[in-house]
Amino acid sequence: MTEVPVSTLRLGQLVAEGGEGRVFEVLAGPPELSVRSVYKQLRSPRPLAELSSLVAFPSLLASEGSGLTARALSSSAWPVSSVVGDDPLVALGTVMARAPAEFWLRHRDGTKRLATLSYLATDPERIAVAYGVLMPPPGAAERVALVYALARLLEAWQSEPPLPRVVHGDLSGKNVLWSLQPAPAVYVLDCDGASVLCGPDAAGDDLPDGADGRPRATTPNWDDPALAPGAPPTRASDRYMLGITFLRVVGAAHFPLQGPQRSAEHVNVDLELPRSWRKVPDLPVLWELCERSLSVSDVEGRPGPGEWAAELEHVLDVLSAPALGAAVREAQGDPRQARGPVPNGNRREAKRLAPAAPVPVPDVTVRPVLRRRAPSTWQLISGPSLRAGGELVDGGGAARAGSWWAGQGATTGMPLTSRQVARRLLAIWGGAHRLAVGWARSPGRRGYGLRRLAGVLLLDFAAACVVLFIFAMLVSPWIGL
Amino acid sequence: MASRYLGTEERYAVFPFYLCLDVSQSMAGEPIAQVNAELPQIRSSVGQDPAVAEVIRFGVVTFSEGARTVLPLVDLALVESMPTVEVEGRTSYSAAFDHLRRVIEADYHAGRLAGERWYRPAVLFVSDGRPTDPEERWLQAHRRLTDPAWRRHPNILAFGFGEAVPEILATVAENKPNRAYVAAEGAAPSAVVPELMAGLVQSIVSSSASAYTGSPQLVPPQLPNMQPIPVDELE
Repeated sequence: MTEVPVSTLRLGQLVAEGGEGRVFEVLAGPPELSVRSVYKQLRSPRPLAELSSLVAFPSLLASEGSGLTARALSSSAWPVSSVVGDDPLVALGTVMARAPAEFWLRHRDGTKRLATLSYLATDPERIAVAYGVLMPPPGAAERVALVYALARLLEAWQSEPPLPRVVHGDLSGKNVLWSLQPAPAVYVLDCDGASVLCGPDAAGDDLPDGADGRPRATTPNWDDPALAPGAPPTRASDRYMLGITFLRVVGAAHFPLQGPQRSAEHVNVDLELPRSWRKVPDLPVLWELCERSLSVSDVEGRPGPGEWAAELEHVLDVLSAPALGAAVREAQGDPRQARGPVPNGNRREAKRLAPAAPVPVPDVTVRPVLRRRAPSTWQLISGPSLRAGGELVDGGGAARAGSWWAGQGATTGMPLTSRQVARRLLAIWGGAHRLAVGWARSPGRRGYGLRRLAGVLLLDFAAACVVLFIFAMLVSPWIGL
Repeated sequence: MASRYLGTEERYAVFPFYLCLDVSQSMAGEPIAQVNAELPQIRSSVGQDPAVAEVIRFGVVTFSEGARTVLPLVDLALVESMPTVEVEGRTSYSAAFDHLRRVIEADYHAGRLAGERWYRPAVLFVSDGRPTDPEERWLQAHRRLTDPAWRRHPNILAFGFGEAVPEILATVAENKPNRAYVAAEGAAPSAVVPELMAGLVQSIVSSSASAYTGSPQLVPPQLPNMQPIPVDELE
């Protein structure tokens, strides 16, 4: 179905609000609509023809086969219908699928939020302390698999003519959702602002890359610095965003590139990776892909998502995680591999033998740096409170969140609560018990086994006596025994 | 061609916001209850969004006869619960301005020691009445706070309701356009305060987005029941 009269939709609560419109839950609508749909009401209605081409995109893509269509539909909130009012030539908005449940995160306090890339593009320890949500460590194969999923979606969007192609234009931290369960997957939002190019224009070889796309608001910090302010995004802009997504997701950091790049500075990026990558062979093609994707001086030379997908498959292989790649392809409903893995030695040889082409002056250098990350400095701050006299008592510092030793709510410089004392005593006993068990199980003459076991039991007995003593001396008088 | 190294530790500069709240007697009852009900909303809207929280630092200062820091400048993602504020005595603007200057200076140096880079701080000044201290005194304190020679001088957005005087709020906001707002005449504080707090959140969130560009802007809030106080731009 391509057009839905607005009068047939029964709307529920407001789900989100942005600069371009408001998103409502759809409670009921025409029977063809999926149960879990949302309606995006545009602030400024658009010509129906513009949105109709968006809605028709998956069916146009289907001419190539079902694989690319499945990728496009499984990984994006693609508009499924235009919504029209009294004027049949004007679209008031679009209906699209709601983000599936696996693309939501639950914070420690129970808040449910969309799992945006913003969570991955920052220090995972900060996210753990602040929200109680565990992220894969920087450089983890799961992070590579998420970028791989995004590259495969873009591969479907940037098919070669005569297939239609899509320019999203705002692949940013807030518009790309991710999930690792049941398989690594991404889900791109805000697709109603995308442009679809099809027909003879898309097939024209002489079409300048800057001519596609329609103007749209982009997210600061994720936008293409080569694009003039207000200019419509291009296919190359999406390729830049794929490159910066790789850096930020795999490196779990921001790498604020755009500022220096706009000032025409050469940027050297040190991508810190965990020491587990020391076993990984050098990946010259990967770093070169990063550099070409982020280049501002050679926009036309930015690599396509197909190149990225093939290289990331190779990276997953060398990280001993080819199953993640297969899981991504399976989840996208298109299990074909982009390219067979190529041994690293052959790749280097191929690069060496490649005919010398004029090499543009690189404006970005990406260099992997293996380093052990410094211990986390993030701390949760207890709520401040006011003394009777009105003076501020600072939260004092600060509980090391999740620390089993300190316990929740422990503050430095404050007297310990009885609960915290009990916790520490238990920790001391637990440590001693484990040590004794380890000693008892260590290799030795058979005759010593029983003696050692007796030692462990003696230790536990002593601990029980101490607890009983504390109970007798301190707790019993307090409870009146 | 100039060259720059970017590593994992490279972060965006932070954008400090100080909410400066009037807790004088006139705020007693519904207004202060509304403020306490809305403060956790600021935490959930700003602190629960990792992209916003990372560049925003937020502190709460209250003032009546004296001024005090109720919430030290923090990353709201790392705050477990928001403080509550209580009604006190009179309305000393000078205490508020002097305290703000001290706090901003101290926070700036503490932030620098922690490796933070700062954008110019913003003060969200909320009052429901006129100052009870002598005019010359609070004007002097205001001049010290906004002294251009002091490199940390903040940008001030002023909001008023109840008995607040538009001209005084405009002065607090340094007579700059779109910096001072007053509630529509007769608007009930119970309606104004939630709207005002929602506007502040929206202003903070929008400002955070601009902070990522490297050229941050203090985005004024959109308040349907409040009107910007028209002021001339100073030459």
